[in-house]
Amino acid sequence: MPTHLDLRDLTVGGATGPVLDGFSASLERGALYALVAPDMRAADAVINLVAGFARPQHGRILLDGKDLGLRGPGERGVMTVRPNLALFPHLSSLANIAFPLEQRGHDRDEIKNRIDRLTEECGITPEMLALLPEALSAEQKLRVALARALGGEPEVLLLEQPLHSLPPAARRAFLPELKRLHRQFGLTTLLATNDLAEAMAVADVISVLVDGKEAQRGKPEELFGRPANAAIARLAGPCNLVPIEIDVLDTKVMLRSAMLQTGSGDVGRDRCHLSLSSGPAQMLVRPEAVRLFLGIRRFDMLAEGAIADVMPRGGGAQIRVTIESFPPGIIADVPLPAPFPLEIGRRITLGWNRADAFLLPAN
Amino acid sequence: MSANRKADSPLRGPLAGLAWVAVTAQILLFGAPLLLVLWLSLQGAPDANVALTPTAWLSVLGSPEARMALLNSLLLAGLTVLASLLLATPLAYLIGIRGKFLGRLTLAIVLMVWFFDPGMRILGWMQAFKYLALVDFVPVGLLAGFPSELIASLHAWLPMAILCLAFGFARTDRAILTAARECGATTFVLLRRILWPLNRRLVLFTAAIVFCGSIGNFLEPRLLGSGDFQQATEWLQRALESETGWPYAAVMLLLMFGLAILPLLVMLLARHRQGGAA
Repeated sequence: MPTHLDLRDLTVGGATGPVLDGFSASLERGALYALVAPDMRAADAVINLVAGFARPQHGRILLDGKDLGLRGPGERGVMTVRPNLALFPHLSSLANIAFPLEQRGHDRDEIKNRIDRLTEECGITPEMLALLPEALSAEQKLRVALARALGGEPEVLLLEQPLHSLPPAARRAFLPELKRLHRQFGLTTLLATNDLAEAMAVADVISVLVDGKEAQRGKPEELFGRPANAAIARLAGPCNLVPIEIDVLDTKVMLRSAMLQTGSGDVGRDRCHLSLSSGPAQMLVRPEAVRLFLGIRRFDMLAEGAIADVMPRGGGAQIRVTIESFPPGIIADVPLPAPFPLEIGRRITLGWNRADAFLLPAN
Repeated sequence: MSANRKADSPLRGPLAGLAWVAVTAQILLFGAPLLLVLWLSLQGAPDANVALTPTAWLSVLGSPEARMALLNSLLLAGLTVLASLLLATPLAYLIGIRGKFLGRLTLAIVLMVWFFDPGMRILGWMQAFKYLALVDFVPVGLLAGFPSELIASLHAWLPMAILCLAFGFARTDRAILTAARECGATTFVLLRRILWPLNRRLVLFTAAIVFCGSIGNFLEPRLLGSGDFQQATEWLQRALESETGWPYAAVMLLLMFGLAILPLLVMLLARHRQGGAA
């Protein structure tokens, strides 16, 4: 599929070093591309460059092969949803949604038709249309902001931390809605967020930007299962990074760890980061892959320790088990009810399989 | 709502100190002389000519000359308000929104204007025109009379209007402005549909300040070539200089004070009602 939005070697300077350093990306038409940056500076910079509110020190932005460099905001076919949603506080929801349509010179009937479609697609009720933004809930405001942005008939939709104003539970609940709207309108979309889990839920491709540079790019499952480093692994959610020693051989990697009861042995090269070399390394295991060992099911790796924390989570609990040789311990998601009481201090054994582990370079 | 309204006041904004200086100057320059004249008038005096009597009220209200002078001042103040708001808005936009070099330069020029009395500024212009032999030049000649008084009034009050609006504009959420830009709004649409409505209380406040100030303008007619356009303050000057004119001057001052304070009272009443509704 031909490239729709082409970002080439974008560089933006800052007081203490480059905010964005040579970032490039090619977005296919209709793709949802996520930029994940822990401190948001680099991702914000990309959004502002594409929206036309900043100029790069170096690099070009092409839309359908045409350079956007000389076009100002409003002339680029780009609309942005900002973290605070930036609704016009003195205008009703209806007037907010109609605003971009009016600026584009549509006649009254056309505006009405388009508003009818937008409100239906974005889940905005007729009662909401008459209200000022201050009378709307956070989620309703977000729907109005999305409708306004879509009403601008953009070729590219920029979402800068669009769920920022929602409480955490509502954010997770709104993600499928965001995905549905993207599917419905089929717009090339650039999502900037500091939440990798959020990006993984909706994006086709994700770029992780650290210190202004691209640290990793890939599909959500690649970033989750095969992160480039421990920092990216942590961005994707809670994880265990177990210190190990490895010997890299031709077809496999031999590993050993003082904290593992059993499990020293070999793993396939496909479960290792490409830059691994013999010596200290880390084994990434997600909490959901770690199980209580009850002597029935077989696991490739086992570790014994004492329960240090129990945190209820949904229908289960997340427990942290400290191990003498690894005080930070291992965290595991345990379904409830557990086969025995999860008491602090109780000694238990946790197990996981090699297929659920991924080996990373040591910090 | 109430907290927001308080925060909107220029007297609580980032340059509150400057605003308080302006208010204090208003009280000293306008309020104090008024109170002094009122006090003297209400005191009564051994000389009956100084007493503020109903006859004095009827005499002033019945005088076509006094009524015309008052109407002229009202017209001048109204036009000053309109012209100030129209001219101040783009300059306030430069200072408050665009910022950077052009905005700072505009701010510096606006502040510099206050170094001289507006009358002196106009005198300076007139002298420059004379020196350059431009006084008889038609466009300059057209400015003599009422237009020159309006220009002088604007000279006096435009900086205040610019600063008031600029403070409000500077505090407007940039994300809202960028959203409007992205929607395709031109600068004019941005001002008309976003900045003015968002800062409507400040616009009203600015209008009230300019109106209150400019209704009491004393623009020396001899400097401005406007002998046929008498302001209330000129009428007042003649009344005060006359031996028997004191009570009439006091009546005129009270009328002017009433007109000046009217927009402020209306604003306060409107805010009180809004507060009650909220």
